[in-house]
Amino acid sequence: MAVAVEAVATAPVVPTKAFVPDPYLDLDTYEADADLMTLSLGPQHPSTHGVFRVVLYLDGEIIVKAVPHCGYLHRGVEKLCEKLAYSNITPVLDKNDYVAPMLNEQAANMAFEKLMGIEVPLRAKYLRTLLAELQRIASHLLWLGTFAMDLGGALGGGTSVFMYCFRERELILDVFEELTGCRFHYNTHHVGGNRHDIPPGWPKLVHEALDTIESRLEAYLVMLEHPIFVDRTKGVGTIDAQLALELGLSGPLLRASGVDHDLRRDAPYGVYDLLDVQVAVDGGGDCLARYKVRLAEIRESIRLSRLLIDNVPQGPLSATKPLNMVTQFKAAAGQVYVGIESPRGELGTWLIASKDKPTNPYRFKIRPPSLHAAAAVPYVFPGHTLSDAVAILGSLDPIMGEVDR
Amino acid sequence: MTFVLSNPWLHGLVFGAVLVSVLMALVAFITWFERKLAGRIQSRLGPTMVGPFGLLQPIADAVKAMQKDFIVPKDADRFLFWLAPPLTIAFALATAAVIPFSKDVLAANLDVGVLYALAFSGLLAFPTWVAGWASNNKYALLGGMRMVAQGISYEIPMVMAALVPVTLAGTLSMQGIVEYQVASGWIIATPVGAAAGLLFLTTALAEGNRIPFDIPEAESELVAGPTTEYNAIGWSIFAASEYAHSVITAAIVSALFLGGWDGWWNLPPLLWMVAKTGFVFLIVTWVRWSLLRFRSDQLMALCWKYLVPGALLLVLIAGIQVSVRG
Amino acid sequence: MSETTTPAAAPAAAPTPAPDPSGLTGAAGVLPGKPVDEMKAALAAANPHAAEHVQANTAKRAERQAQVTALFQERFGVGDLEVANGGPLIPAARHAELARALKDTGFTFYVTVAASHWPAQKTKTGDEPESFEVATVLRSVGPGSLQVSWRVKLAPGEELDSLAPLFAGADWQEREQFDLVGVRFLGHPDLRRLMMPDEWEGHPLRRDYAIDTRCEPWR
Repeated sequence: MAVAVEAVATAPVVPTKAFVPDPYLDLDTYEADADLMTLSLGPQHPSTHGVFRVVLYLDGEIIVKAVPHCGYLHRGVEKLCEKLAYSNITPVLDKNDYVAPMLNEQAANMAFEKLMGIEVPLRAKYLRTLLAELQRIASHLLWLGTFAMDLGGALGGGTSVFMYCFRERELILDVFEELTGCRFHYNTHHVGGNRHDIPPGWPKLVHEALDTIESRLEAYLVMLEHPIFVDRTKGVGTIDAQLALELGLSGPLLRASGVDHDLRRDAPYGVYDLLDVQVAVDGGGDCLARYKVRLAEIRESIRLSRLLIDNVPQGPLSATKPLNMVTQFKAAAGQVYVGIESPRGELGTWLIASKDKPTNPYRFKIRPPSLHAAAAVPYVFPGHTLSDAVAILGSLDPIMGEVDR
Repeated sequence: MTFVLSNPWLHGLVFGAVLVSVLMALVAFITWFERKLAGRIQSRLGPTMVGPFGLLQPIADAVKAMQKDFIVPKDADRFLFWLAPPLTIAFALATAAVIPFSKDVLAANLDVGVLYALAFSGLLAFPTWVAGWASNNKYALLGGMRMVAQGISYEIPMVMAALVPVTLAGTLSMQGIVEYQVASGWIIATPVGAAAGLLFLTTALAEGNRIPFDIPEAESELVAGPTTEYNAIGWSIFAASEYAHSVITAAIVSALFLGGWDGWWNLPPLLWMVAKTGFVFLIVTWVRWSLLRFRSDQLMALCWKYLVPGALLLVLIAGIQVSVRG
Repeated sequence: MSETTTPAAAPAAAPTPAPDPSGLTGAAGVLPGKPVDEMKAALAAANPHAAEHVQANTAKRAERQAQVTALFQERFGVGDLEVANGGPLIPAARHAELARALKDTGFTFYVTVAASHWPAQKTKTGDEPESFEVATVLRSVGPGSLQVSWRVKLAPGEELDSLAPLFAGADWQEREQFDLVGVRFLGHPDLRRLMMPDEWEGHPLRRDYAIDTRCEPWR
């Protein structure tokens, strides 16, 4: 036979077919119907969202065990940040979560400011909040597109949804380009404030973009009544609230599992304390619930962005002058942790500064929400078919740039 | 000319050659059409650069594919790996022999034309399986296995749906069925015929490996299914045979249910047949670019729980109708 | 332990905006913006429950903070929570015990673990030997979400109790720290390298790690 199939000795220890997902399942004790088939999903695979590799052990077409491997996109960002001055770190971090770069910048700069004791002006906090909400819309739209592509294939209805989502996301990127000059890696946050102030015509552009997106959003809700979409997502990849908390899942994944937790409301930063963030929670815990939660978040972000863009406050945009000078920012020795709500969950920064080198971080640790999403794979995959595995991975939405850093 | 047309062997040879050439040219054009339509569905333009409206794009693609090196994986079964693409296209095109394009334009007027067409259509699962097996790739193997499972399952409701026009017309000949429709109205016009037509189209989508039933290919899961290891001209032949099969299936649907070359306003019958085929293909394409994919177990459930009983019922109703009519 | 938020008291609304040290605002081609009071009034009108959330958060956070302070004080004899320094130092032996106690108190969300390497240093007060520091952050879920962090100091080669049996989310985070910093976690179910190749030598995030590695293909 041309294809190597891994033969597995059978021992009558574990009752077959009763799937309690066990990430550390000993395959020797698993009693398979036939020989198990080892399938390496990735690293070069259309639906692994970057370069992720999951080794699947298949009993027929049912996954018995999944062993994820990551690190293919490891670029040593944390090591690099130890060598860079505080003002030079932001552009490096843009490449981490490349779907929502604004939030990476914000998370790191908030940690720097906290360590240095810099009070950010209200207008900058306000603008950061607005940008975060706009970025959330763009990020969730991209998720929806790639998720539909996982469900519908690269040459079919899935691509149609993908194209629509990219069309809408494009509007947000245009708005960002108008503000910062960049479509993707903005480098607009710096220590103490923001770099690019709002041009006079910008609110109008934002309003137009938001109006267009909102009017087209109705079309995506039709997917909820689509029988194939519901069949493929309902009851697939269920994560209950306890497991979600155990795994450290955050953001939409946690809320889709029925945990009412959102840092924007529960531990507000920026100007979220002035806003009444409606947290979308769904108890389903499956792919459908994750879809619903993300869609609701897009709508809430549209509402918040509209509100914010209409009421930009006066005042300075930065507490410091952005210079390209290594010695500009000096931190006293200390350690801080700052977590913010990125589109994927809690994006945190653990920052250590030492006495010896006040201009660079001593240790810079990012808490990526996607890492936990990727780590959830061995808990969710077993018991599902290969087709479902792809749908689940799509709904977990790990961004590998962020997982591997 | 009359000599050629009267000798069945020569007739078949000439018409076969013409048919294959025309069909292959049509397939090239059809890929352009599908890409253009997909572009419009997805709010983009589709091919625009090569030739007027991008019309020459398929030719450019074919030239590119032919220039490429045809790579056979080291551990593949070389003979079967080479054999699979020609087999696929041969089986796909062989079906076209019995399609009546007009009263006279028809390669072979077989008495068992419907059976012949369905048999070759069902055989298509096997070259795909051969490709999946020969590639020595787990994705290809899984895709091949899915193709066989799906092909065999959907064969049953497909044949039963085709039985409805056969029962109503009382003949297995394609030309006979079209002539019956010319005489006593299109089969799609009767309720049982309409239901059978819809069912046949659905199962034909599954047989032709098109979304929402393209489980064997399933790009997001199986990379490219049985054709994962194929590149260059080998892959192109697979793609061409998929399109050829789609077009021919559309033609069979037109012949069995939509009255074939029958039409109004004294337009040439050939034109009617081509227009109907185009219309069915448009529907198939539209479905492809609008729907998501089923999961394989859902696909099987759909077949065995709904389509097979439904098809049985339709055959029963058609039988009663015929016996009442006497 | 540290607060996530800057408190609601934003800089007081001045009738004339303060001069901008960045020199960016006030320039031509910049949206002037509303007075701060007006902005706050507009947001408050559109978000009637915002103040309630702030109130609930503050109350809940104070309650949790008191619980945590009491826990640290009574069971671990830590008075100063050293917020600016990333939390109090806890003996390595009581690391898992503290995590379990905090989980029982309601800090059910595992945030992160950050290990750092401190090479041997000569200081005025005496020589400091090489050491590792492992900081762990937990968070409570829901309104008034509060984060708690503490640190553990380890000698080289010393192992720390893994939190993976307690929080499944600690699995990969600890693997990452093992991979990059080289701190071993005792009782971890699957302590393999996460980012670097399995055959990699050394731990890149140590301070004395040379970028020029000894491994052939990655030199």
